[in-house]
Amino acid sequence: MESKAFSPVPVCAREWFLLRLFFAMAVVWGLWEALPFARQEMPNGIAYFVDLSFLGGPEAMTWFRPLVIVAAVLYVTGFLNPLGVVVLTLAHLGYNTLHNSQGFTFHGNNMIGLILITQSVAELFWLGWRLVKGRPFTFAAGLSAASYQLYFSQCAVAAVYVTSAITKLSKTEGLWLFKSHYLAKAVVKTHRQLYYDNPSKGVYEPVIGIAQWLAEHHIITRLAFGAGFFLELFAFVALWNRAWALFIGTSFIAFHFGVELIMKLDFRVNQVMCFIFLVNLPFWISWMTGLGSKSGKGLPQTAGR
Amino acid sequence: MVMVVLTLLCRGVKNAYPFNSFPMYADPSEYPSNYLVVADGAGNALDIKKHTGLSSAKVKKIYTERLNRTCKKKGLEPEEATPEIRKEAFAETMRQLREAATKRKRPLPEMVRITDMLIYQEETTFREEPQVLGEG
Repeated sequence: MESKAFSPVPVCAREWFLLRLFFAMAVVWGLWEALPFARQEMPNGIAYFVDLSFLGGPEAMTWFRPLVIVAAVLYVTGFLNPLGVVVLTLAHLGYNTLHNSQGFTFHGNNMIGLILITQSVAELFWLGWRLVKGRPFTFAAGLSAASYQLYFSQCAVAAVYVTSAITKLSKTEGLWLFKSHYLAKAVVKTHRQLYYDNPSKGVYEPVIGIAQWLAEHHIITRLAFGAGFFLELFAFVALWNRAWALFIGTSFIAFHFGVELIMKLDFRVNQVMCFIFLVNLPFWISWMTGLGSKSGKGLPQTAGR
Repeated sequence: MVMVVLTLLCRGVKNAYPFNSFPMYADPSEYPSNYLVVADGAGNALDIKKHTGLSSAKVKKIYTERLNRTCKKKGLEPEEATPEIRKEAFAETMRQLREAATKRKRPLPEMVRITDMLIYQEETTFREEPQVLGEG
């Protein structure tokens, strides 16, 4: 069966199970550390309506960790669906909103939050459909809830990057690329900030070599940052088909390693999400080994081309 | 369609977790960039992350967010912040840092000085200019 471009693709049960398992592990990992915050210094998002300080401190972890583990198990096994994904979503939103309500906005976990929200909304929609209509939602031939959940998750990943690129265009009136050589001083800033986290453990560099080099090579700097910018702007191409998702996902993982090398800023969660939902190793391993087709379960074809 | 909706929500909501316009490094310009140095009264830089659990970048965000919110309440742009507003934002930032440090049993010295280091990019060179934000 040939799938349409920029549409959900057939996803087999094994592939979706592994993706859920990897994703659940990443979600639980991100909720493991006790938050050292006793109050909301500067509320953000839902913290304006709900005081989330009950999620702070090591004592909260005595019930919070078991809760997220149970929710993750329910999510991965599909038992009592959609309870698992909804509880994971609420736990993730509460925990990270409290974290972001201390006066500093951390952008490293937003991608997980958006993926969880899209998955929860989809599951709740299908549950509502079943309750109201008295029958399950009918998917197009060859597709399943897993097809849509993978597609929605990829949409959330792409949305983060496309938003970032649009914001760059908006803030510079379209001139981001032209002005990107000024990012050399941001490189000085990030290196200095890292040093001044714990200056007694570091060595002060009077000149940040990589920033100096970037400042001296405007054109190469614009080309390098431009490549990253266009990757963000065209992140939606990952939705075209599985091959493009693999290419864009791998490119983003490399892009983040590049940023980390130059700016000392890591976006590990984004890399992990790109790895899970764009690179999608379970599918490509199955595709290469042909295990899926041999088992007669119908290995999903690549969408689009 | 889902991606478009999420993008519009992120752009529209701007900053309410998990929606965000992701403005990091979105506005490169000739204006100076900056970072903060947290030091003791004698000017010796402190291991602020070890003391408070908060990185130097987070300390800067806390101060900036306090300044921005106070200015917004008073109908001012952050650049129009009066010395009193800056003093208030600094005092609140120090209170938050001291609380975090006490909680970790690594209290800060009696006198702490925060310096704003402005980084200017002049063709192929960089110049860093210190401006004391406050002491307390």
